[in-house]
Amino acid sequence: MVRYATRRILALIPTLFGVSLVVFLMIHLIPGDPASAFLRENASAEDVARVTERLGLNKPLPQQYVDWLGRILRLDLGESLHTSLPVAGQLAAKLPATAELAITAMVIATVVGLVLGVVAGMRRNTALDFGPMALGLVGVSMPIFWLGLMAIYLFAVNLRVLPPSTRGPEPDQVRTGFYTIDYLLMGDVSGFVNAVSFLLMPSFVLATVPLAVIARQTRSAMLEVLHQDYVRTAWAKGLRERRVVLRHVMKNALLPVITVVGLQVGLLLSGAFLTETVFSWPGLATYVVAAINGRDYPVVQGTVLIFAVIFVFVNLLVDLSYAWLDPRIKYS
Amino acid sequence: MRPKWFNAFAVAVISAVVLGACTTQQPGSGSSPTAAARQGGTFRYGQSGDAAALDPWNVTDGNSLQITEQIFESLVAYKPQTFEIVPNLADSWTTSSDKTQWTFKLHPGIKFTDGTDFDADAVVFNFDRARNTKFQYRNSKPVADDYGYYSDMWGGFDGDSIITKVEAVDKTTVRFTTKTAFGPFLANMGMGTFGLVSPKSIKDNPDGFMLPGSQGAAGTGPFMFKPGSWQKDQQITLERNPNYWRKDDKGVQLPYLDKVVIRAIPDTQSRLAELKAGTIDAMRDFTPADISAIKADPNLQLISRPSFNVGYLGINIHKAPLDKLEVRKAIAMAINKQAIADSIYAGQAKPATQFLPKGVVGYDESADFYKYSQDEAKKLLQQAGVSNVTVDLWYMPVSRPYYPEPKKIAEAFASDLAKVGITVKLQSIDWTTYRTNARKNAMDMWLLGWTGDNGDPDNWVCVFFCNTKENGSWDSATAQQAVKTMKDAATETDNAKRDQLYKQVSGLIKQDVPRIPMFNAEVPVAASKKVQGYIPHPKGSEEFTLVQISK
Repeated sequence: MVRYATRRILALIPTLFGVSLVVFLMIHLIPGDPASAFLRENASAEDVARVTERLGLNKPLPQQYVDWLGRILRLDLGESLHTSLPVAGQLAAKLPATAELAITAMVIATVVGLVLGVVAGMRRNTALDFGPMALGLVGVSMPIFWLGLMAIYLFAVNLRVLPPSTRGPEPDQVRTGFYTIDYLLMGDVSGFVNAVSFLLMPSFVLATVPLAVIARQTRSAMLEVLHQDYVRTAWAKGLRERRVVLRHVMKNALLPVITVVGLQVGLLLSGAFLTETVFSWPGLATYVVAAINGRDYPVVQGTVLIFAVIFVFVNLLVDLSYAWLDPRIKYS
Repeated sequence: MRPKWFNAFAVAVISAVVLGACTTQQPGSGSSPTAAARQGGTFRYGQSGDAAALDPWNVTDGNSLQITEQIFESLVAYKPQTFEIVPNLADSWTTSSDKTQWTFKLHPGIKFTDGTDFDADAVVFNFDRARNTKFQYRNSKPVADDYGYYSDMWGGFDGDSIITKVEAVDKTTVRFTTKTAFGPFLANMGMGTFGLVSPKSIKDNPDGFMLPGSQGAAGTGPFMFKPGSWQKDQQITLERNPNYWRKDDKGVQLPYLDKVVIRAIPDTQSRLAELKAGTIDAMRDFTPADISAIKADPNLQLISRPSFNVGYLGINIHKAPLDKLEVRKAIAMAINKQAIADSIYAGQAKPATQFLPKGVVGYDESADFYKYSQDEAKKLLQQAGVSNVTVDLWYMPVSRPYYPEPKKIAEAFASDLAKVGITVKLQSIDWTTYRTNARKNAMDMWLLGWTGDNGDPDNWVCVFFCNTKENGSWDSATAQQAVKTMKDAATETDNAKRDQLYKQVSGLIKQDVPRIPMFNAEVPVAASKKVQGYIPHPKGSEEFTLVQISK
């Protein structure tokens, strides 16, 4: 297991190297340059040339790549071309916002998805099966930005029970960057409740697609396992439903579900971009979208690299969890 | 067994949805527009983005300037709603007989919010920092637009700068020397980007005073920046400057508000939802399509802003068949601008008759830019001997004040042009590339436009046509004549003469049709009815000194 994990982590190096090259080339080779992006509509070629030189972008491309890679190896992501703020610092400030949103959404999607899936599987062909599965279909099909806007108009504009967008006020002491946790650490309960009220709508909206996928996957996995001999044996032993479901059915049905959950993390990152835009959530999405439009090379490169690392690590965790869930699977 | 909790949950969800769908517009937080205005309070303003930096000299975008104009002030200012120059930090000014020296008498006793004196040395320091690229306290790394406005307005840095010397004659007298007489001098001086920053702020941290971790960015303006109150890309809270130097007509200390919170809410629909929900008090940057929703809300008001922009149709005049004057004239005549202004702009625009906006020196009330007539257009095309014309028309992928809905507008142009026999292929590409392509003449026809900075005509026609190598490359003999006239007009300081010169320029443009002026659009502000005293300025941003919030 340790050897397997080590090998996988070592395999990260060429993967990330490839990602860095692809990202670098993509952002540099698409038309448009940072200087024109920053300057106004009437900027002349001289203005563009002057700013390009000031930004150090007149060097040959391979040299720029080597320079950048050299900095990355020293764990320096560079500085934004536009604001001259360090990319690492900005990522550290914005990643928690995206992470808080994504993790909350993932918890909602997993818990609610599992419950709905298990119930639907156990009560096949009843209203408890059709209802959630129909909702799930709607959840998968609904565009996030539309759902988000509808939610804002319903809960914030009409009912006025939830704030319409953004993350709310920053806690006085930022330790984790997760506002909910920071308020709890400060012992500020009303601050915590307030932070949750800002988090509720975007996280539920973001959770819809993975929730639906997880519910459907759980249901079909349940159905498959329910017909196994050992389940019949469990029933025959006179075990109560709770015990049969939790101990015998679910544990075995969970394996394919875990795979789906892992894959959803990747989708969640892209869904977070849309959700953050609709809810003006000050996370990575707004930051990166602005950086792409502004051709802010170091910001785009740094962020994509970090995303790649996260994605690869989540996949590794998923693979490792198989061995833990199913003793028959061994990594060597 | 059906779990009981599930039934309860289902009932709750269904009733929430049904209840929500049935709920109509709530009456808001109970205010009427006649409620008494008051001093104090917090004004929450929503805009599409945060400031790039809190250094007026290093930013050119509207979102940044909207914030820096609360903190920093310029030597002179524009009257509300117009570009008439009025005293500001300078009480008065004189100019030498050859118009190459301007001497400003500063308002005495003003202090920056860090406690240091605002004096002639501070003015010299600010202008030297931008002008002199070797200046000790110039930031070492470029930030945002890298003194873009200084370069644009004053011809460049160091030896290129029109301003050649700034000197402190005494504590309250400062003198500027220019290379030549320069017509736009005072109009330029009023721009928010030349707002004066405390030299102490800059000396303490030349590279970082304008960035989020700043320990100080002090100005003389109505509101002040407090360290730690700026959450980048989320919001910035500015506090009332208790020692602000101005009082209102009744002698009441300004500003009225205690605090201003400016929030970055990038998505227009979310911003509108915030305004409707009452979590912000005013916002800008929305499309004409949103206007009916704002008007329909009893808690909201639309505050109009005098139009000060022009949306135009760029033309690559070196590419057949657009190189034929008749074809360009035919295009100008074929498009029904009035119909588009009424429909797509929801009446918030007027057809443009020239490249100068109303109210600017040189604006010609009687001008038109080829009256709409599809019959005439067809005739012209016949005269030119062209048929089966196909051209690409590019529209930008982003909403701009002058073209709020570029795609719909381009479609309307295409449909009008089709009626006279010109087939238009619509194209779009991302905004950065788009602007590069416009500069390089890489498109047949394109939508683009301009919002004026300072009310001077040089900031309009010269922006469009002084550069004969890019953006359509209008370089004919007529163009050369227009450029010469614009250069003469820029060094002229007598407004009556300038008026004549710019009218000549407009005539030359009409004669050659290098581009077609299309619309002057209005860009209103939407606000809660609790907001009073908000006077939008045509330049697109304004300070909140007179804003009041009623209870």
